[in-house]
Amino acid sequence: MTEHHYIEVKNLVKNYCTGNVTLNAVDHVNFYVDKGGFIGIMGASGSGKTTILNILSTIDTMSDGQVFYDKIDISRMNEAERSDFRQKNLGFVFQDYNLLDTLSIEENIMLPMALSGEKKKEIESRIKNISETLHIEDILGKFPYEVSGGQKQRAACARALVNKPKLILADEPTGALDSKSSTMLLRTLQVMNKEFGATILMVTHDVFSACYCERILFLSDGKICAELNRENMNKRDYLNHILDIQSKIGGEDIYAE
Amino acid sequence: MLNKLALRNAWRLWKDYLNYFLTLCMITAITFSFHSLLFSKDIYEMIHYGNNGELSTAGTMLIAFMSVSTVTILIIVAWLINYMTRFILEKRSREFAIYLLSGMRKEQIASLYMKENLYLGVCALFAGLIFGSGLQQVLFFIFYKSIGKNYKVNVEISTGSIILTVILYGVCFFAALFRNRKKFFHMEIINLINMDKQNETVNEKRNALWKRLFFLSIGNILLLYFLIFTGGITKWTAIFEMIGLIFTFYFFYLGLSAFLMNYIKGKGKLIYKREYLFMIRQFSSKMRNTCFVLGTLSLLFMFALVGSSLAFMLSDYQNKQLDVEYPFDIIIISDNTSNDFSKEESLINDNINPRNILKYCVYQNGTSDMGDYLYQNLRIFSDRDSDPVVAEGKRAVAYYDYDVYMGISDYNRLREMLDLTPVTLQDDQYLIHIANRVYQEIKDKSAELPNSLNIGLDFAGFKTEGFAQNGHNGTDYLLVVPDKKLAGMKKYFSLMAVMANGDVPEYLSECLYDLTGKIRGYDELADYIKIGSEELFLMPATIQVKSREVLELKFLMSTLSFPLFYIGLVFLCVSLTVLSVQQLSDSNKYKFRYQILNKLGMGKKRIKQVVAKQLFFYYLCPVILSVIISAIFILYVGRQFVIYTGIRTEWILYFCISLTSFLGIYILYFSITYFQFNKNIKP
Repeated sequence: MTEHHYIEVKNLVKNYCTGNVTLNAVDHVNFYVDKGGFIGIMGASGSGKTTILNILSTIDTMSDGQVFYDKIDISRMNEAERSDFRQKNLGFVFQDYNLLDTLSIEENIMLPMALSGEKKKEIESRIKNISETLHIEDILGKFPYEVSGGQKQRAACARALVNKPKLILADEPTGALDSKSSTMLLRTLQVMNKEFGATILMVTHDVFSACYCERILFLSDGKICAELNRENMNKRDYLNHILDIQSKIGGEDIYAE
Repeated sequence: MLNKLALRNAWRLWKDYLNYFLTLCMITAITFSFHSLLFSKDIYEMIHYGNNGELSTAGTMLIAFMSVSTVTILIIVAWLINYMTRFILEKRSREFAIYLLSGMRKEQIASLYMKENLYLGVCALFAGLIFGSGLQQVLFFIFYKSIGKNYKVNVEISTGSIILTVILYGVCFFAALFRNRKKFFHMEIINLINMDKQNETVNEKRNALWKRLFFLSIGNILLLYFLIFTGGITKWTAIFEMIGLIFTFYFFYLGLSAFLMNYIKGKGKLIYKREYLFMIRQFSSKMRNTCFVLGTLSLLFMFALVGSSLAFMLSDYQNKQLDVEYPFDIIIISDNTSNDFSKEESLINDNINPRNILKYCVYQNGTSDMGDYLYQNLRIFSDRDSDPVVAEGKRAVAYYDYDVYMGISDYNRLREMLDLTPVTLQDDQYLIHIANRVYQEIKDKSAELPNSLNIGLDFAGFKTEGFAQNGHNGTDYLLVVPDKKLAGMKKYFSLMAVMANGDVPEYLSECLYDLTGKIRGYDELADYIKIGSEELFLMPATIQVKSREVLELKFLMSTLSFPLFYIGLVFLCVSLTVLSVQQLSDSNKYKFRYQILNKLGMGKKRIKQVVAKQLFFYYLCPVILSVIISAIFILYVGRQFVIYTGIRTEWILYFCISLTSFLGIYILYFSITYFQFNKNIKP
């Protein structure tokens, strides 16, 4: 009997055709994510990590292969079904926050719930819970341009979490943050994972950020070339392992970052 | 190199701001075609006398109204071009910063931008002139139709009209571009780089103040309605209301946005429902940031609506009133009571085929009770509503010195000529044939009228059909008495009324004037004839040939209604372009908002619905206020029409026709914007 995983990616392929040239951005990738997991995808620029994230987040289509969410095959869904699926099952955290500038922080967080037709009471109580846990209750009434980058990103996390999604997708979430804010955000993601039981898939090329993941997939030229499980490793050993794999697959010069 | 770059950029401008380009074309076409009315040879002949080239009244009016319209349009077009060039400058600021970084000088960039806009402008000008020469034919057809003539297609490109259009256009363009040129010199690279990054901020300051001002605006609109319904409009209240209205237009949107923001802050129910939160926020912040533009657009819409409704009402008046004012094909009056009109009769017989000719006299008995009564009771002669000096002046020229009487047999013969049923009068009865307009004004107190008249007969009632009462069969009124009663009276004037079989040529009017040694148009004013309380446009004329008078009056009406349509159309196009360009530029700048919505699970179909709703409300916004305010203006004008003309004009109908025809253009712009908007926000 085959083992059942929460999210399963099977033989995922994404090609881009430019004239007569076909580029394999993702080349027969297979992996899985278990419920409550915190997975990282690392790789150099152009390795295909954001393409995988976009396909998993249903905002891009795959050329071939299958992606199952709790046995539901998203590759067979049409545009409307994908939107619906996205609304109910996925949460997003992006490098550039993607908060709506005309909405206050509180309104940004409540938007996904309002869109999925939740009741006012439920919306208010969930915002209260999440904002207290992520320490953003003081900035709820402010607008995105009135708060710091770290606060914006925590607000984005709250928005990602508010609909209790099956999977939170984070695309370089620390990319625009200073080191202090990055640490705070990564701890926030850890809290979301541990306390709220959120399943997180994070794409990053920052080794420090990757340390927070339980499992890391390394991508090169659209293929998974290595995989690392933290298991009982301490942080230092885990960091060294990541650096070793990075240097083996010819990743970016981390010291330059 | 710079020229090549300018050409390429102009091409891009054309594609990015197609709406703006099309509007420039449309305005050029409209301006050109309307101006060509002034330069048309046929119309020149219609508005000038004989060989000396003197302008007629209608000609003077046409030129005056067209000049006022052109100046108004010049200001609005200049505003549009200035707004658009500034707008495009802001959108392309980063590109200009890169030019500066690459070593170009500010003067070079300023002239590059100027060249691009000029290329665009010249293309729009040429396209507009070509389109305008087609539109000109349509306009001429409508103009000729409205004055009751047939138009044969005649491609007549007038140099004068082209020059005038080019000057108008050039002045607007150069003024706007030179203003922007100045702006370039004051800009630093860093400002240019950051300019397009400046997102809309949500300004929630002074909400309490804006809310109060909103109530003030609503109060002002209600006051306007109250004043108009209660008839309390005076010169001063009108001036204050006008000033108040301008503020109303601007404060209304500020206040409305403050209410919406408070609604969101107060966690109103709607914000928890689906996309409403997003839409209300978008809408309120847009309204706050563009309240000045929205206010200006509302004003323009109001002018456009009022202008075209007025134009429709004038056409309606023209159609309804001309038969009333000129019931006879020809009517001639003479103060020589022994005049037998033999020369006129033979001239008429030579030129037309008369069906009926009646020569008759009107009488006077040395009293003027009815005239005095009207002097005291008609609004036009009272000091209350008009300047005392003006009222005194009007009293001096309105009525003949004595009341005008006619015998019942002549009266009935005239009625028969007009296919009206004859009336019977007892030997001790009289009736008053009165202009409907005057009757409408005095009918409420008409019971007291017979007591004011010392005729010695019983009053048998009023008749109000059109009866040539602008000086011929009396002025405003005619006292009809049994023939016996005329025995003690003196002949006052001799008259001849003619009804013809078939058409009466217009030139007959000039011929009849020639016969009496007078020139039509010159000698009318010096004549003894009185026209009573008619205020709108009738000129005193001893000789009235219906076909000639109708032509002139229709022409006169068209000189009023055409410029009104002209202004209305241009204002509408300008407003819609600004709305459309604003939304389209937002769709480019803020496309990420819709992409976020998509990522949050909003399907493409639903996003399209959100865009449609958003555009619908944004487009609706300036219309609502202008409809509310222009409706009351039209109602007021409609009432004044009844007072001045006695004609009940269907103001609601004409208002709705204007609104509907505007909506057609509105829907066109809306559809283009909607289509382009969705295209722009596609990932």
